[in-house]
Amino acid sequence: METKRLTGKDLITVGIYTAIYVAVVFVIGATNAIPIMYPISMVIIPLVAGIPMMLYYTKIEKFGMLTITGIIVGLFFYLSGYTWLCVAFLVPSGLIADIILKVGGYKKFKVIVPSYMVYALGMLGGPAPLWFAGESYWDGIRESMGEQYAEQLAGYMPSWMLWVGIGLVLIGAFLGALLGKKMLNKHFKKAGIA
Amino acid sequence: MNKEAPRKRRFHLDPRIKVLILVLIATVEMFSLNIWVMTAIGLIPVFLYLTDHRVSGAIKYSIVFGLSVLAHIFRADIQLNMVLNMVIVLLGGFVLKLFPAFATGEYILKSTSVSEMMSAFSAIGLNRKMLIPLSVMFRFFPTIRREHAAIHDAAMMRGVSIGRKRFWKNPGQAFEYRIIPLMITVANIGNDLSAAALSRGLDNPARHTTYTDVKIGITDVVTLICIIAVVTAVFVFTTLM
Repeated sequence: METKRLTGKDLITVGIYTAIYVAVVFVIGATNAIPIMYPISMVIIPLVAGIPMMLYYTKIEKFGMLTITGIIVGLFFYLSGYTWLCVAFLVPSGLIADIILKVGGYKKFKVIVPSYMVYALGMLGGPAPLWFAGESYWDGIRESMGEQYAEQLAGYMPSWMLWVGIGLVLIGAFLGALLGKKMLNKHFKKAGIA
Repeated sequence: MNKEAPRKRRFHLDPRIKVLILVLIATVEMFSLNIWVMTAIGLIPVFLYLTDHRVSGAIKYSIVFGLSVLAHIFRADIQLNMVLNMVIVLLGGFVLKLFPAFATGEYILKSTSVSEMMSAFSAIGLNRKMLIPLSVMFRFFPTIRREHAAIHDAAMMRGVSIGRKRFWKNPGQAFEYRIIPLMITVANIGNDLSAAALSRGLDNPARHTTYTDVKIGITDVVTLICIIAVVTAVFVFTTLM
């Protein structure tokens, strides 16, 4: 069936890889209980998620799949206790990643890398309220997590950290794409699923 | 186990109401209100567990949540050494803030069949482009966990586990041997799932019928109103007093 519309099979693919992506991000993101892990996870998450995402990219042939992934991941993290900024970040990043693929062509590694890098930036929606939601959010952290945690977190996440964070995510995503590509060639091609 | 068939249960909430409760919990938690409101929110999953006849789940959750509430109340009085104190307060804060939403999410996953979810949300006009990925995702979380456990067992048998020296000699490889098999099984299961769903007419453009009859009943309305009323009452009472 050669249609431009997303078929049931495409939508199931979206569901499967979104589930794996969420699982990976969720497990690694839980380490943010320790303040120092905040900046570190910005590299680790896109790096590890690169493996499932590269496999996912080999299945994408139509416009819209990454956008749907973005919407679902955003909603999931909103409902599991992060803020609505997750949705506000992940939807546009998924959309732009989709557009990059559409313009550059599907299943080309040179296009996949920038697309994945943009997509990965959406995960900054997790820590985003630290910079954008203002003092009241910090009061909330102080109230629920204690002074010590809040102080340490403020130490690791000053406002310029947003720009460093973008850099870290981009580096992590770039390395993640390479790692994913390596794994594809090493394992998945042999197993006949990529 | 015939999960698909409509069941008569004494207490059964509509999936839409369950998700609405989850949204409510996530939204209230975002504001980090005072400890009493947090406790009231934290009691919602206990109630939900009990209505689902999962007493042991309710007890386990209550103990963890109760301890974190205590840790929060007495955090100024706890005088242990710095690190231990910090860990306790931190874990307490984490549990307090995130556990109610997690527990409710887990309750929804366990107590709702996929077809029930599908028919409930297509009834309110959710687009199939969102609906199919979402329900596949719901279907997949337990699968991922089961497959991961199986891979973990196999790795343990061969002596690949975090506790072993060999693991730390080559953590990258150990990690690779965990995640790659998982990805491969999940991708294969996914292919099977698509084949099964397509052969049952997933791509049929006509309106799909369903055995599962979902309605928002009196129980749903009363439960929702009770939850909102209690949380609001606690909020008003503790902020005005």
